[in-house]
Amino acid sequence: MQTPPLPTDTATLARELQPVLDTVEKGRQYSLARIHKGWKSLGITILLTAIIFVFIVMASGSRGEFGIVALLVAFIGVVCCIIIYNIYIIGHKSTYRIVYKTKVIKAITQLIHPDMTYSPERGISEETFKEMGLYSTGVDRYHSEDLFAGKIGKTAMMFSEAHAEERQTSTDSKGNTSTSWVTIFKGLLTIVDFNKDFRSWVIIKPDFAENNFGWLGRKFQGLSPNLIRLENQEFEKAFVVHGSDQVEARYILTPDLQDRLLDLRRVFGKDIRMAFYNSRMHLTIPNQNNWFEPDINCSAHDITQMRMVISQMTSIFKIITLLDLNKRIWTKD
Amino acid sequence: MEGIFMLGVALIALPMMIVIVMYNGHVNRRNAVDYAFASIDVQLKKRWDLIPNLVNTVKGYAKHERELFENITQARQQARERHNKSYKRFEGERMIDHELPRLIAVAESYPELKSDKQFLNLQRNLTEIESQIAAARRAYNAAVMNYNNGVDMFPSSIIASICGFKRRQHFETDARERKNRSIHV
Repeated sequence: MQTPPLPTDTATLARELQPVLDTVEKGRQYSLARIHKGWKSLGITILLTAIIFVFIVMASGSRGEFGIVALLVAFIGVVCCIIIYNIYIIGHKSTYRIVYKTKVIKAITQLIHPDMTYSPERGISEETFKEMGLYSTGVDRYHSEDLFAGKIGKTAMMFSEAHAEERQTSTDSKGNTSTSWVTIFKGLLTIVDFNKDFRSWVIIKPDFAENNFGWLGRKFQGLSPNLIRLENQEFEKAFVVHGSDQVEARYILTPDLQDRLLDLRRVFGKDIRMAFYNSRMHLTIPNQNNWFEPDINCSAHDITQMRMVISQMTSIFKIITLLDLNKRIWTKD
Repeated sequence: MEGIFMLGVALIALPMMIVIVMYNGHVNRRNAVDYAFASIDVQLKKRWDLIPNLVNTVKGYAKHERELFENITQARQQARERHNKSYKRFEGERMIDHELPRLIAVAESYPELKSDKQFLNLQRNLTEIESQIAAARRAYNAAVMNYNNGVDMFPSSIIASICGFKRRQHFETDARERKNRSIHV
């Protein structure tokens, strides 16, 4: 069964969403006014603090007896600036971001795919990320947001943005320790229901060893008892495949699916990774940009911004078509 | 003196180690071929079990296709008779490989049959089994290639010829079958 064509014509969507966009735009204008007010207040606070500080310092002259008062004034000034910045600037930016996401992006999702839901505050769990087994490093900090979940045709799908980091502590020659956060993965996590049932697991990663060490890398990979060598040479060069069952791995990775996964790699880049288990396909797409984020300086009616959000979400929805996952000719419905 | 003794031990032990590693490599690869063979065997037997049900269902709608039904029944019988543990076992399946897509093609020309739930279920099961056979065949051929490389390549070919490790045949599809294939995998 073919997936119905997506109504991704941005102008049509903008017309459909006119009442929502009007409300969001009013909110944006209000937020912008508050932010401007915040910047003004911030400027005045800094100026007043500076004047009082200088005045106290000058008044104390060389005696320095008002030094503690000057420091107290500076401290109060800094605290006031932080409060103003958080309430007026960060607070209103964040409010607008949430309103745009819950009203506009949610509505766009419903119009494009009524069977999909969008939850801006939710994401794919850390446990699921770890369970995929695609990144061997331990996760110390994890955040996920912008969860899309539902069905495209016959295929259940969910995806969200995720950022997994590892804490690294180093000690210098003087014995000072410093902690830094290293990104393990940043991008999109996608889980799709596969069109065949299977019981084993298959993991597909970029072929680092063979691409960098050639024949030696290939020999080294051969030491793994779970290595699966496939017939498609282009696929073999691009990916290294491990699986718990040689036959079932080939049942999943048909020659046709191998070609389609190479197409997927062309679309999303050479660093994509896949894990097949529980009759589902788990895909990680590294992406340094923060997707599904509105710009407060851009009008809510702005077609370019809407177009960007639509293109981001449809590029993920299209994975189903790209991999032909709505084809249900096997025993799985 | 001790150094010479150690060198002598090393000169004997090292070649022995190499021979053992090569021999075990052959055994390991041969077992992988046998395991892959068993996987195909299971799926081919599943297909045998499905054939009578499929023939009976199609027969109910297309009674005059007697010749086709007889051919399939005969192909199944022939495959069962030729069943053994050598690669020749696959040759016995060739007639089924050829006749089954014909049966499906005939069935699809009957609209009532195409909407029959039992037929649809059997067709899906057949597609599933054909996919499993295709996967098992690819796994078998990969295992055979790996094993044959060990048998042919120097110096492991010496151990192979001394210990009787012989080349195995790939499971190839019939050219006729490749042309006429109509069961999606």
